Amino acid sequence: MAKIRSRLLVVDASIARAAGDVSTHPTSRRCRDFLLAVREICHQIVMTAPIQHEWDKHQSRFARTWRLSMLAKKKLKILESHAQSSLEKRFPKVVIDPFILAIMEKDRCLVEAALLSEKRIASLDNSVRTHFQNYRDSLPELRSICWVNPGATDEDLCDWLRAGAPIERSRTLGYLAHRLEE
Amino acid sequence: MPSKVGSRTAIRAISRIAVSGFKSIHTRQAIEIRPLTILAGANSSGKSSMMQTLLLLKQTLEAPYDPGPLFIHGPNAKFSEVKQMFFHSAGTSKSQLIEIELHVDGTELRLNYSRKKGRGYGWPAELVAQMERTAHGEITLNEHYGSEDIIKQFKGNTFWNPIISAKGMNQAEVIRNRCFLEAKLSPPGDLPVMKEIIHFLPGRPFISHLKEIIHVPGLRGNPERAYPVTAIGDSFPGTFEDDAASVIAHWVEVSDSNLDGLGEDLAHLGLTWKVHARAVNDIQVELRVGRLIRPKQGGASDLVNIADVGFGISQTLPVVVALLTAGPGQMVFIEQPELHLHPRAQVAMAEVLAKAAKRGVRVVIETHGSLLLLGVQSLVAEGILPASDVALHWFLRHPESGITTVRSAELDEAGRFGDWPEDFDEVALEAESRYLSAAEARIVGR
Repeated sequence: MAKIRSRLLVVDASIARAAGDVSTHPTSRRCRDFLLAVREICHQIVMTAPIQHEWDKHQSRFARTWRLSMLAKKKLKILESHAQSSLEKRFPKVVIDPFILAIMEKDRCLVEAALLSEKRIASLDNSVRTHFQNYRDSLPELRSICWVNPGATDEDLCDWLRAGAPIERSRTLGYLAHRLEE
Repeated sequence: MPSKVGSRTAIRAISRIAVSGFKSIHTRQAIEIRPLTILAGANSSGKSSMMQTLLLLKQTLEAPYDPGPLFIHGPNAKFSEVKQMFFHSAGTSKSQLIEIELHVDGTELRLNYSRKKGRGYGWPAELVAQMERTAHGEITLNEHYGSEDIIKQFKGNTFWNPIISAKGMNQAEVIRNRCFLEAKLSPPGDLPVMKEIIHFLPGRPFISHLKEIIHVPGLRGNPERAYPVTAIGDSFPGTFEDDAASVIAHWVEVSDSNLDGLGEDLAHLGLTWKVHARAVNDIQVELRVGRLIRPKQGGASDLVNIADVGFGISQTLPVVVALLTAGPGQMVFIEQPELHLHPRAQVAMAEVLAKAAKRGVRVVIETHGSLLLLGVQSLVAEGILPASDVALHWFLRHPESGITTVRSAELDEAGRFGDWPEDFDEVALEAESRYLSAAEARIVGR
């Protein structure tokens, strides 16, 4: 069997929280399966200081154990906080609605980490994904980011991980934006 | 607790062990011994077997009479038949030889044991060969070697060849001294009083290291109202659990600063702040411990007998006393140091172990404690314990053949071990996932 290429993934704290929150069932179960598959298939995760901070605030016990294990096995890559993109300055210029701006600002750390690594994000937050999609013309670098949702029933992410977490066009922010327009 | 310091200077100590043919260890498995050496793995994976070889040598050297090449039923390791020591497994040929390899300070010594041939009275195991390797070359001794064979070995050694040539040594014999072989070399002639004799004692550098091993076993007995008085010295024959009381009594008698260290360590572990020992009679010592974890004004004599408090203290006391009493280079082998300890104390135990390791004690632990391991990782990441002072060895047993394999790993400066088959996290994730799934099913079904 061909060796699966290990990929760098950005995992949102929403998954860390849901994985141990039985009230979100069946999302919780899907999140756990996703995290276990990431670990088992030998993918790696990427964190920056803001992402770590979000995890520290929201992670469940299950996610804490998982994160610790990823760290010990050298599968957690910490990116320097100062290595930031220009998105911080550009968001307020292109996003007029202050409510949408606040939502996008909150998850800016995810796209920054993805752009600094291998452009793969896993998050439960579909609404912010939609906002990022809507600003694809003003923020074209977001188009190539692959955004997956482990809580979604139709995404089959364990198979996707086993396939090496490829950037399939259908999972990118650019493609989804295009589809929404249609 | 430990402060941030650099690594120690070089200390003479057992630095490596390799074993083959012993119990579940079929082919040669080697482990490096560092100041803090952690042996982990599933039950019956072979962790104890690796260390039992050293304990066999220790008890052979300590026996009050010559027990032969291996004392197989002693205080540290117990076998009733020599065949129990040899590797055997269905589908794999039985081992005919047990090889024990030791390294101290650039010298390697390999001891090969076989079963006694035939039945009848005599030693159950036979030391068939011994090989010493240094920078000058190898010297192999065999009890059946003739004089010529022995001299040939010395001629191939760059250190010994000029000596035996200059002195005209051409007669030699091999003598067994307990678990080691020695050689006696002499020049030709029949008058022994006139001859210069060279004694080659390759086991000598290893004897003190083996005898000084402090063995704190996994079964440390019930807390007693009084403990027997035992001899106090640099070495502690047999297992250590009953020696702790006498060591403490000695510290009390000479006002040793280790007594304060003992109180500090036990307080750090959340067990007690004070331990006192007093002679009950000429043959027994009573241990009294502080009822509280921290000292309190006027509470200096608020002590109770160790049998009147929880198991945690009586099981941990030999561990802490052994670590404090051991000197640099001395090996302290502790089976399950985390035994009977609350999770918080298991993490704190890592600091107690690290403190001894930083003094140069060779702390070898056999553990199932994921929190203890995490405590060690944290000390490394915090810069309190150098990563190079820690060796991790994971023992795996093949599910069908039962053969033990050891996988070793090094911590990096962040306390990470990378690709090491440690399964504590995996077990925790499985257990947590199982509970969460069951809870979800119950909630949904309600």
